[in-house]
Amino acid sequence: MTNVTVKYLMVFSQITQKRKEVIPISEGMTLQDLIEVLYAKYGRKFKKVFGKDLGHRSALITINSEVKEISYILNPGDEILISHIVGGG
Amino acid sequence: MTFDYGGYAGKTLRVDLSKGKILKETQSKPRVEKYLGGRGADAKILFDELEPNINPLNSDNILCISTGPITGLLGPTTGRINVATKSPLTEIYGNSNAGSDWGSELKYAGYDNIIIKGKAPKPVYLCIDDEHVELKDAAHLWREGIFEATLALQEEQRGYDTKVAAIGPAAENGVLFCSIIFNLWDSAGRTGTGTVMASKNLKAITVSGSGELKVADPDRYLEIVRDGWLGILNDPGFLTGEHQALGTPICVNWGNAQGWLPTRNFRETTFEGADSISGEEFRDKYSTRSSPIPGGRACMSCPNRCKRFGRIESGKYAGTRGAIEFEGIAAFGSKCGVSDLEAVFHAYTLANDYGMDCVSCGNAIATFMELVEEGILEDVDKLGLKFGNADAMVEMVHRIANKQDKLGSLGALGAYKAALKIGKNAVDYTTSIKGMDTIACDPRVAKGFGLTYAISSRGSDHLRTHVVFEMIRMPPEIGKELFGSEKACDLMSYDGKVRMVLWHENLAAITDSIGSCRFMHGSYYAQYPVPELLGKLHNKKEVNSIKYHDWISAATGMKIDYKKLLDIGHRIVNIERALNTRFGIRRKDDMLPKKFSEPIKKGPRKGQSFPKEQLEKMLDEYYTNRGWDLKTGLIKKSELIKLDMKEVLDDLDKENLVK
Ligand code: SF4
Repeated sequence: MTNVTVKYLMVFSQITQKRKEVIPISEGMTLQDLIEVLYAKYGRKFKKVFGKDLGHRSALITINSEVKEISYILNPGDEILISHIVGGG
Repeated sequence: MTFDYGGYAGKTLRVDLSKGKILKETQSKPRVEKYLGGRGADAKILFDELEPNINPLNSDNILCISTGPITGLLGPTTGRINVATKSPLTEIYGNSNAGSDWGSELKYAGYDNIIIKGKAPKPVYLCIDDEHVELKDAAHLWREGIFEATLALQEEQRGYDTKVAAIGPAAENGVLFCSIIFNLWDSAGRTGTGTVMASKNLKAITVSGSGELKVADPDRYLEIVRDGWLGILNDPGFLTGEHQALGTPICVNWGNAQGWLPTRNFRETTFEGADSISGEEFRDKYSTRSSPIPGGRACMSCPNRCKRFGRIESGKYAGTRGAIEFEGIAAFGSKCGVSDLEAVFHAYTLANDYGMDCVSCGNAIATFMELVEEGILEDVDKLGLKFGNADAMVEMVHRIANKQDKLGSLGALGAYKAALKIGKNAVDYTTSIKGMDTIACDPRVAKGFGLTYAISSRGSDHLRTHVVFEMIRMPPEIGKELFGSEKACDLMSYDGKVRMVLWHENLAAITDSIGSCRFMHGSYYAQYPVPELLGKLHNKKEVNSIKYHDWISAATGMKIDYKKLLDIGHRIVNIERALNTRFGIRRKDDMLPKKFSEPIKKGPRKGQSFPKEQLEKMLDEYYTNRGWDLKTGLIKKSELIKLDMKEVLDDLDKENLVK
């Protein structure tokens, strides 16, 4: 078994009560599979803030700083970051 | 001349500090018709009344403080105030904008704006209490920090009902980038407006107002502001609730993830310590119940409530408390390579109490750190000035504020003037444009920000446009519709960026001139026609938006449609350019510093740069749209005629400053 690191920004870190965690992956596991794992682990609230109804402001997932398709096959050591899209400052 | 527009208080206060004279004038109708108020009106006043060649710290400099027609009214964010002067930092047009409810109070007291000239023989403060306006002795407050001065003045006046704009000891010491701080927490931070106020021996302006404001068409007005409120409350960005939870520090981790977070004086664009100085860290560790305003704070009539507060309970910096913003965190944190949030928070609070601009202060320290590491500057005061040294960073804040020893005195000049004094190739290590150092977003990654920095009328600055559009994954259709390119909303694409900058710049000029907040057209796009376009895309039947043109019309009684609104924005950009041409600004000054034409050396954005040729191409397109001469950057006569700026043309023509 190998691992990826998932980092949670913004409200995701409040729901999960952590800012990062290491998650084991199996061979061939996709980003979609990982999201399902997280839905199951963190429940309704987590799923809600993913926010499909927020359109272009729904959750943004980057893997090693790049936006990837949902069918992307995870590699050991990948760093997955989950955030909302924001601006300001 | 009578003044009968709604929304405005209707009077201007003129203060001559040298003579101790205070005059109340009827508001200028032609000026507000063409420039609305706030930033636009201030630029016109400076154009008409300021002798361009003066030393900014000479008593002849003018300090303008202005509200806009919607300041203090009911509506989606109505608390912003504009300050303008000739900047001691850049020696061109200086200007800054702050929130809070100080501006509203000024209008309730009966005044839209204040024009301050001269220099008081001894420290004074200006006390405005409805129609009673007087200069009072401030000797007892001179040398006091912002917190003490503000609280003492509130005690002397009407308690919390008195709103205070104050300067701190760093301004009195002549540090060139000092702020004016409104009601403890809101700072007109950039370009050294506080230093000018101090040079006039003016410690503070207190305001207590009990009057009322009238709008031209109350029924229509209520309809319009309801539409605007709903526009914000249904904005997808607002619905995430993130700004209310984290405030602007949300941008630390976010900017780092996007690879534009300036690190070690812009050597890199991602910071390994970002998470430890992030908004999330601040929220989790320091936003405690004992922080000054635990729930956060909003400016006048704002649903966003983006001001976050915290307190350090124990350790070396125990007792540090206050608000914190992204720009300050980046300035003292990632730019200095410091990942200790307590040190960053402490430095931030110190800078505010001394009354200094956190951005310029942090940038000066970061530049010195790099110059010491490169062997160009000697660490003569033996502070251990190198990236990552939190103690040296905090010590430098004290030293700069007090102009202590060699490095403190150098730092008080700001990064650019200090680098000129240091000589060798020190300037190549600064990120200054037109004399002002760059905020916390690397333009090699965010291309629209890059063009904005180059053309901004107050020197390197993002807020002249705030093109957050390129950061928030807007659908390509929106880019196509508004800016002619599907790629316009891609962060690193150059396509459509000039049009994107022009549109944002015109609207930002309006926002700053009416007294509203930039968040509402950048960050959130609740502003017409964006919700309408998104609604069309998603087949939504009911759409709400903020419509500045209708809002201003209902408030004032002027007749302004969307096209006229954009024309006014264009005119405001041009009056600022007219002023800047007198200060010697030409095409050569609309540039990006050497650092930004060099590729990023590591991290996910490795290899990205903003090539000079690319910028020149964009400037040609930008100038053509603005009606500026491609070679010199002077405004064309035909453009000034088109914009109904004949009186400006006549003046510039006499000075040989038009094409
Ligand atoms: S968004 Fe923030 S800065 Fe803007 S008006 Fe609201 S509270 Fe003030």
